[in-house]
Amino acid sequence: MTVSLKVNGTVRTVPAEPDTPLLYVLRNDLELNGAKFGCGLAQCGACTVLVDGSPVRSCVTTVGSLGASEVTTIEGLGTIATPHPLQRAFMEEQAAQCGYCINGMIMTAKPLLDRTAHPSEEEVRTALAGNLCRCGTHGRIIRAVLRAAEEMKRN
Amino acid sequence: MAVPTLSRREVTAGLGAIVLAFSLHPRSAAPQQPAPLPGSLQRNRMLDAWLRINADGSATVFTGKVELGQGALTALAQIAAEELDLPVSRVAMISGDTARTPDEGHTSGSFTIEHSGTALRLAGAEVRGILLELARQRLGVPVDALVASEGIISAPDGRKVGYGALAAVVDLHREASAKVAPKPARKHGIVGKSAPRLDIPRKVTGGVAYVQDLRLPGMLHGRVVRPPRYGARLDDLGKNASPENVVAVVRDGSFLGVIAEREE
Repeated sequence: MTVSLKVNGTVRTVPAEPDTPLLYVLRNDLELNGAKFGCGLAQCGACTVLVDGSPVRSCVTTVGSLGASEVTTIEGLGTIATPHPLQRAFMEEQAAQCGYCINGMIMTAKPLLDRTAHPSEEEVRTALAGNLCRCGTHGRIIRAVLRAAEEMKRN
Repeated sequence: MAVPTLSRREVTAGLGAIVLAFSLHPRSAAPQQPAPLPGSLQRNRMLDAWLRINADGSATVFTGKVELGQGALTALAQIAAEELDLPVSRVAMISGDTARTPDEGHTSGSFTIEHSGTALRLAGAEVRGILLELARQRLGVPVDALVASEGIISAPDGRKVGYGALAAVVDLHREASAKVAPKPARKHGIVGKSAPRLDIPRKVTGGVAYVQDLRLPGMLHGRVVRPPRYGARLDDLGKNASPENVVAVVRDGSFLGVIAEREE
């Protein structure tokens, strides 16, 4: 059986059952490395992607549930050469230790900055509260999100 | 960091095999034990197992240690760049590729700098010495009068020779002596200063950065099926034990593993 889904602006058709978690299709069929398998139970946030602009846990989102929705992964935000302000801010703040959670941090922060141009530190903390980082990089992650907000405000 | 993509593996597989075959077994056929060398040089004794100078004057550094977010590859690149008098941006790191890099065992216990860093520091100093000696022969100026900076060796009269030009004639397939003194700390310009982590750009853009990102031809996925509690006993697999895409079900008592074509 095949399933079609729109990822980063392109419709892709993959051989998968409709109940296949989106994360596996992204990683294994589309070979997108950004979203990570962390817990597989929607508890850690490492697999976060955007569906129609809202953050979802791709490990528990089935491909069959997407319909015509737009999936955006961190690859769709920017590249090393032309990074999204969030990606650039995370590089500039060196806001990663092992880095495994960072996809989720960025993909959860993105909709926050899209709807809140001037988030307070408290708002950033609240938005990212469901994303776990075991290395303890929280301080830098929050600085990076606030830095990205500053940069996006300027542009 | 080494990212063993298919194409690169195919291209370099032969080269890597040759390097390893020689590098791990030095020419010494002497019956006595080889002289002890510091750090990971002891078990990986050839200079070209650690460092190569490329035709463009840049360097390629090989390490058996891997990046775990501790910044290891950045630190090792700094150490190699420091001793080679190259900017970090001109040092390419190849890490943890068993076909190409020295076998340094685990990356654990805070040993990366002690073992791999020591090897690269000494190998880097020795390679720099070899390059200076080649420059001396080419320029006819004593080594003491030569200055190496950013991959260019200059004589007092202004004549220069780049590492790239020397790369064609330098033979690093030789056992390290560990007798060339590395720079003293007071002369460090790269080591001891914070450098941006080499691994972070890939990690924030969905690049290949983790072992989970490896995709090999015909790769299968294996999982252990965990019981609901400690000490649980596996009675029966039931009828549906081999669904589609499952290549093998491995059972040993109450241990159950599944190997499948797809991960889910």
